[in-house]
Amino acid sequence: MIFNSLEYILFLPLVFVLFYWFRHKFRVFILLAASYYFYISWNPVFILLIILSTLIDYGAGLLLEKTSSNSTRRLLLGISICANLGFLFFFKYFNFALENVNEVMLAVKGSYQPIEAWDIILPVGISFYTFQTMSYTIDVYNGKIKAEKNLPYFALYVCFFPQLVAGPIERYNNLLPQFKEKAQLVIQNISHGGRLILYGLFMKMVIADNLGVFVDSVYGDIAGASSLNLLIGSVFYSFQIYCDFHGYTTIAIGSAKLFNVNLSENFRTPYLSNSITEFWRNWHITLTTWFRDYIYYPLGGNRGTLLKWVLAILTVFVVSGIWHGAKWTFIFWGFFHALFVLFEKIVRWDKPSTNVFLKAIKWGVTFTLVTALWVFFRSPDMDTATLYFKSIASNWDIEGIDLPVEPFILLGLFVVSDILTRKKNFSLSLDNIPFVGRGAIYFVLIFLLLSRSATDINPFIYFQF
Amino acid sequence: MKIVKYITTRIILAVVFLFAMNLLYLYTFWKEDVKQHGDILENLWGVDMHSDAIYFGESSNFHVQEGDSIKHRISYALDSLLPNISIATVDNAGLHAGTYLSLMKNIPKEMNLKFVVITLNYRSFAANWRYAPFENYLSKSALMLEPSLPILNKYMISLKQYDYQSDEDRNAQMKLAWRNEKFKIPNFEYTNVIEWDSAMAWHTWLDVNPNLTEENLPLASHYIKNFAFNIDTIHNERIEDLNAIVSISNKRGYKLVFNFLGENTIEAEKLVGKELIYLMEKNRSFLVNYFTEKGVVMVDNFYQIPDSCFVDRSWPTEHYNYQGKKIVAENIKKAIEANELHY
Repeated sequence: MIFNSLEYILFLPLVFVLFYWFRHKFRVFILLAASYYFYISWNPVFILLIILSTLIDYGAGLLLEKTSSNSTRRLLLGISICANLGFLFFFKYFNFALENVNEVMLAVKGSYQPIEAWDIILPVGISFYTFQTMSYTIDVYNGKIKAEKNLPYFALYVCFFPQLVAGPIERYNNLLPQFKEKAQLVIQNISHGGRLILYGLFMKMVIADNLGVFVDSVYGDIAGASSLNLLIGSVFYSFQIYCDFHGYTTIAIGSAKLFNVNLSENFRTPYLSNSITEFWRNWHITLTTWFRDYIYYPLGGNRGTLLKWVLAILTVFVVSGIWHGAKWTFIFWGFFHALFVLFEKIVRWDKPSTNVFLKAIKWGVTFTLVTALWVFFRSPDMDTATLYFKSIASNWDIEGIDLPVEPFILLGLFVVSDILTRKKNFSLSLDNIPFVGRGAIYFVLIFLLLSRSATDINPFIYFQF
Repeated sequence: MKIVKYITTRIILAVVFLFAMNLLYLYTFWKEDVKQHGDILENLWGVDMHSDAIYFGESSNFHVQEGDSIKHRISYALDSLLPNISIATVDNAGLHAGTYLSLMKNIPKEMNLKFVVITLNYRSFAANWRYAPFENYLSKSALMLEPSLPILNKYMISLKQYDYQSDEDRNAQMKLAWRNEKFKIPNFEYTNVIEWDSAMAWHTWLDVNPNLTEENLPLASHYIKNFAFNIDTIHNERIEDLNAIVSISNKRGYKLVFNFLGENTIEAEKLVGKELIYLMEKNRSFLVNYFTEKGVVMVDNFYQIPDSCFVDRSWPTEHYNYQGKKIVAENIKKAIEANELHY
């Protein structure tokens, strides 16, 4: 069940009614059942994986709290992390590792018989809920939080359906206490939740999916596309992935709001950033902060030697690339981001500037770099990415520039709305607008959603991670 | 109470908004969307409102043989054979009962039709048409033509509320149907398409049938895949759609004519054998009897088209040269006159 489906449009109000119909003590079971059902609708078998992961981390948390011996505590943490990363490695990286082992062995031994890849299906959302549960165990180990004793609440923390398959990656401290608070049926939550769902659907179905049609056509024939179309394609992809993922997150936040749960913001107009460093403060915030807290800081952050700091930055970004997928293109994408961040720190490019001209140049350079690096992200392999850049440089003689007018207009509309909602999210921004103005905005958004949503089949991009 | 009032006012506003949006949509994007997702409706819009009849057809209606001096459609030939009535044409490639049903629902109620001709293609009952990748497009078109608010139809398309399936899934369903949809032919060992086709593919018949060669073996295989089936009156969606067409026609008072297209039974028998003809005849007589009993005028061209009239020689189709198309038109004319539908 995806957010932009009729099933979800029916599922969400049903869960909402049931949730408020029952007394507080039963609501955790309503949300838990709904979340499991939501996940089962993808693939029934993998619910067992979530349950297993839940039980391992729940047990590890309780035992960590009871045990004072450091070696036992380290062992418990190790078991929990190995189990979580083990699942992730097997489902996501096993074949990638196998493929690379085969290539190395073939290079070393010419007569080597390559091992065939296994037929492994990637469970939806595994990268997200695994990171969420790992943060819990690490925080319990570090004494930052108390272990959760109530299994249903803990299970709901792992699988709360609005953020189960693509985040935001929530910390225990932010999410679980909200489940325990008695939710009141308040108009404000319904209205804010509804607005966010509407805006999220608009971003996904009207903007991202329509841009995606053009992007797919360009990537479908890179060698035959003109340089201008390739450039437009790369800019469109920047906004496609942003609207796709931001749209998903906004629907998730809106859906959670209906149950009186506030999920973390994941995006703060990242494309207005003046440096790559700033971009990462505003893009996929919950993942970036996860890497900061659980990899960058433990590796010493910026408090050690220069070499240690460089290694910490490189590690975080390369791991971030690998987290997105088992492909060299993702690793390169992460690696180049690391290089740019290091460069910015060294030349102090990320230092805030008041000069408008300088800010504009910094913005232009940042947006260009981010857009160029998305080419690696979008390409199925390194050869395609290389071909893309080569074709941009060489295809100026190809005629037949196909300017997609409607996507440009829709994109313009989105950029304006994104800038206007820079300081407050879309829903809060609407609070200051009079009733008639709000009505007009709803009218335009709903009209565009109903009439201009793309018709091609486009799953959310981040579901594959 | 406050919440109930809040939700109720929003629902009422939403309904008002919806109708206003629908109106705006009709004046802005609708026609362009119909062109993209349901272009067949454009054909129907082009129909003269004073027409006495509509001919619904697929590629058999307009396909032309290279070198044909007369390139008229079957429906145009019929129109000229019946000078006192005007017959409008609505056709497109790959259409079948499901699409005709959607179109029937969209015939303007103001039209005073004497009769409607529906093209009935034997192959359209076979698994490889029922599960063809083209079905995605037809199913999307059918949703676009639903008699609901057009803006909602468009959004339902975006929500994939039509029978969308990947090519791989449709292929798998087709193969499953070839295996599971059994038929029984007296004194014949094969009971499904897979068994029969495999025997053909493995060349075991080359020695038995002198008409078979390495070159025409693929065509023989196509004949089996397209013509060897047993119509399941409960599960075959074409029957369901045709029944719905009959019911709409009865409701609206249209006389219904099914133009049952002719097949190249001579070639089929030559390449595959009399067993295939046995099945085809069984299905033919079932369809003719079944719909005649329902009051439909059946124009049975099944064995009427000579081998020389079939245009395609490497794939079994119902594409005829003009001579073949004229035979069909004349048969329809005779049936219309015999049943006095033109008065």
